[in-house]
Amino acid sequence: MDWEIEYAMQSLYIPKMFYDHDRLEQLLERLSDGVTLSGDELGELERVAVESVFEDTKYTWQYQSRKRDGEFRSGCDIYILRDPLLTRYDRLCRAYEARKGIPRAENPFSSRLDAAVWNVMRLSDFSFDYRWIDSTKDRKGPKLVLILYEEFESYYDIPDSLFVILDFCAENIPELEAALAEAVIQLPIWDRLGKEAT
Amino acid sequence: MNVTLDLPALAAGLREAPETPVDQDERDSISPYLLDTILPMLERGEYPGLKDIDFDQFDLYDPPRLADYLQKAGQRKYELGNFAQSLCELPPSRTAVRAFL
Repeated sequence: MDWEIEYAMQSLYIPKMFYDHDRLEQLLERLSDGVTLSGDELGELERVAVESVFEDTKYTWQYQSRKRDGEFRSGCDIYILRDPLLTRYDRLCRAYEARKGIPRAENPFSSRLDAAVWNVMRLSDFSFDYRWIDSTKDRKGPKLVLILYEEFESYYDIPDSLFVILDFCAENIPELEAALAEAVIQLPIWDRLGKEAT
Repeated sequence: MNVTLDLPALAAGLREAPETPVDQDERDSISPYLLDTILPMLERGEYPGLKDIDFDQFDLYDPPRLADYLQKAGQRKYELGNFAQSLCELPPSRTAVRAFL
């Protein structure tokens, strides 16, 4: 198969994801005018797509550095990704933990989000790393940190994974809100002598 | 090793084979918009702009499905070409009895 046709199919797949999430206009606004299905423009499309899924995305390029053992670590793209939907889910988790008096480790909703992130971040390329940091570790709120090394090529996979995370939050927030509403604090019962009744 | 072709059997098999292409089912599962509108443009070297694409006309997995279909079709074409080339390179061999005339 002609490589140009394969690249064109990838160029169709990515904006279609955005179209299905009613976000195509935002993607097109960030792209250069007149972007086509040509393979020459696929690189720009992939990178802009990664930056366009989560509403608050920061990007930086880290130059090659030397590790403590003397070896060089290649340069890498670093994305810091935050989104109001993810923040909302995270805040509900913290509220649920406070209401139930349980630590994060015992919150099934937090565990589900951890599992969802872990599942989608199993990309087909090994030249990357990621950190999922929720509000218990960052006061600014939850964030996903993506580290893509120089050899990384599967930009194609990332928008899909990020949309799955947001879809997970959207689908599970109602259940979390309902669970939060039902969570009742068990108050101690005191007897006439002021001692806690058994 | 001598290769023997049973041409009458081959001809009979071809007559019995259905007229539909071998990949018709797979082709039917792909968006007609991609097959009949987008693909011909790409094959002519024309690249439509993203703003001109009708994203309602295909599902999310239609593009990779089309890419997979084209890859398999290309592989079949390659194998058929190799087979035809092998047949052409076979030297003729004598028969014990005159076969015609």
